[in-house]
Amino acid sequence: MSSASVVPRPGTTAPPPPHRAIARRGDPRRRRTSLARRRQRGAMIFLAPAVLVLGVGAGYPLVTLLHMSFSDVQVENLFQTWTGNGLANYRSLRSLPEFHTVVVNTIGFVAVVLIGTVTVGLIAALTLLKRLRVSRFVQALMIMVWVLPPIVVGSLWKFMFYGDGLINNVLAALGMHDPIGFISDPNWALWSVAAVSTWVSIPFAAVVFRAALLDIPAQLLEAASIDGASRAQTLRLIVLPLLRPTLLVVAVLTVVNAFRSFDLIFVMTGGGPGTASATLPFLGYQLAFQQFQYGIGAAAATISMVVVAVLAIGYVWLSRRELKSA
Amino acid sequence: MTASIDIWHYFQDSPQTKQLFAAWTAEFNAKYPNVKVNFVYVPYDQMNNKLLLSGQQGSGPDGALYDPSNAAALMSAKAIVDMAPYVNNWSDLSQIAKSAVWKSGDQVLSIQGYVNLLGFYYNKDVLTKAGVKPATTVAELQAQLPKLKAVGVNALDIPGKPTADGEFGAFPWFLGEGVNYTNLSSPVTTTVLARTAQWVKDGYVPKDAAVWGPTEAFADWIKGNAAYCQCGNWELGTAKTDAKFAYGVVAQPAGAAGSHVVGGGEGASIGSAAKNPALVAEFFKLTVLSKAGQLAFLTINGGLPTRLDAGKDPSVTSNALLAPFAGEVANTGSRPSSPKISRAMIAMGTAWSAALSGQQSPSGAAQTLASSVAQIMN
Repeated sequence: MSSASVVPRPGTTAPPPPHRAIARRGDPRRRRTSLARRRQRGAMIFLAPAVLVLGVGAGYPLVTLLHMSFSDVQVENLFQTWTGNGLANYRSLRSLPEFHTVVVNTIGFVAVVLIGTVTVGLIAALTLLKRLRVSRFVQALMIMVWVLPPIVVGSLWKFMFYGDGLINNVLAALGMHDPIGFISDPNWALWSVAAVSTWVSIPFAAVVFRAALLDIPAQLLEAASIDGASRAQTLRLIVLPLLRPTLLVVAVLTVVNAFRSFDLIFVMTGGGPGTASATLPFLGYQLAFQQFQYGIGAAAATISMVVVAVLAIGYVWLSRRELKSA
Repeated sequence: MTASIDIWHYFQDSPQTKQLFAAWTAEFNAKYPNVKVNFVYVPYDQMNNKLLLSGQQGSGPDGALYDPSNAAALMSAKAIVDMAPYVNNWSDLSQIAKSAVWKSGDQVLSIQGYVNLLGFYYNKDVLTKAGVKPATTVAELQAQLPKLKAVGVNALDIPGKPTADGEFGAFPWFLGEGVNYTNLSSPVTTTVLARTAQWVKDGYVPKDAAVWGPTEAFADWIKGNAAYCQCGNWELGTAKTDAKFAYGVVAQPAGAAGSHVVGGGEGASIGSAAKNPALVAEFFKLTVLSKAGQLAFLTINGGLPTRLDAGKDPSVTSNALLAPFAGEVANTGSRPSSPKISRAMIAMGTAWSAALSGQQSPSGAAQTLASSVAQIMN
């Protein structure tokens, strides 16, 4: 290092002289470093069980799934050595007659659940913002919906969606003569299940949005009001920009949940009629656990997993950014 | 020395199940008093995978009562063993209906002690109003459908879910016209699909049938919403307690090739981890496969005996509601025994549902079905 390099330039902080950079025993900086190290070690000890559980409980199955998706795995050799077969499982998956329908269904399903959940969740949060008794009651009701087991929700809605079910009876009372095949008509089935999935997701989104809305400083809203901003302008120019990180996080979580949605489809339509409401995770289940085509089922699951993983990484990144901005 | 055998099953934990197991244990212990029988419950949807896993680890059961359509797959995974050495010289084997013995070549994979069959439940009140008698052929049924609809109810409730449940309802219509998994490319496949799809279009069969299993079809019929329902013998008890109308049962209406349904219910297999396979076979012979054991099952759980002598027992023949089902036992059709059959069954259920709902044209669904099954079975 040349001597010139240690000469401070105007407006800059000079690096400490080399002899002062070496911390000695008793030096407060050295004490801080060892304290940081101890803390780091402590943190690692506390993190270890979680890392171990995740590694064994999630990491190992994921690696096995990947391995399976690139191997010839049938019922005969499920517990024996698997022979690699390259991309054969992915090719077989793509050549299934229902694959194209299933991919389109999955994208449509996710899109409807995402738009429905975020929009209605936000409207619900805005409606429930006032601290009224009725809003507390509605919130409690929504939480109840959220925690209901999918098998209960699916069965309930299935009966309501039947040709002679509650909804068609209400529509008939309103003058609609032909019952709608909510789950039996191939043009309706997927959207009906998506609507129920949205209905289940809304409470979570509403609760999160409400918490974020309550965090918006009241002064900002008052200032906007004094400046003559309308409610729509306040929402568009102040509330939504401030909610953006939360909106993104909720959106990512909704997409992840919708993408791996299986239970409601299983209970309500069994993927039908025909293949009208089958999605990629449902197809993966059918292939692996009903048809014993483990390799191809693993390929379907891997595709789902990759999409969810990309979204999960996005979620973590957004969460970090939100944390930093907070 | 006291030995024990473990039998896996997925029967619901109920007083009836406990009564049945107690009756079977008593029959077995009368000859083998020192052998303890443990009935181990395994959830239905976990049974195959648990059998596969435990078979490989050598920790599986001595025997299992489960869906025998998976027997070929389990045999190829060495989760169960060939029963032939233990039953081929058994004099009573000739008493068991052939369709109840699941074979692969010379190997005996599983034997059913009882079958669940589909029949046609009918609402007598509706049929009387329509002025018709229970249909015995598809042609008769076809002719009755407009009259039944005119009464103001669904003419027929059938299962049409795109799963193995849906296939259980669909397959008899194909068998009745001489179509099996081996000749699906026949034009008759399209005819059968087109006929049923037309029934939906004409409003004789409700649209919801495209997502119904047998349970949902029966639930609609028992409410008085339909004249006929294609449903199983296991619903006789519910019909007795819940029907608010007069009703009866006839066999599946016969097509050009006769009346054939396919047997459901559980099969008995010997696990590959069995310490004493001969003893496990003895257990099955003395319980699930014996006349007394099958009649006990009939009384307690309603399953139809697969033994010819048990089928002729007065408790079966004198029961007017059970007799049509019992009469079907000798004519039951069977699917090809193949480890891939469960895949083919789902393909058929899916095509049936697609045609009923209009997702695919009957010819399109028939084409997809034939090509999918050909690809699967090759």
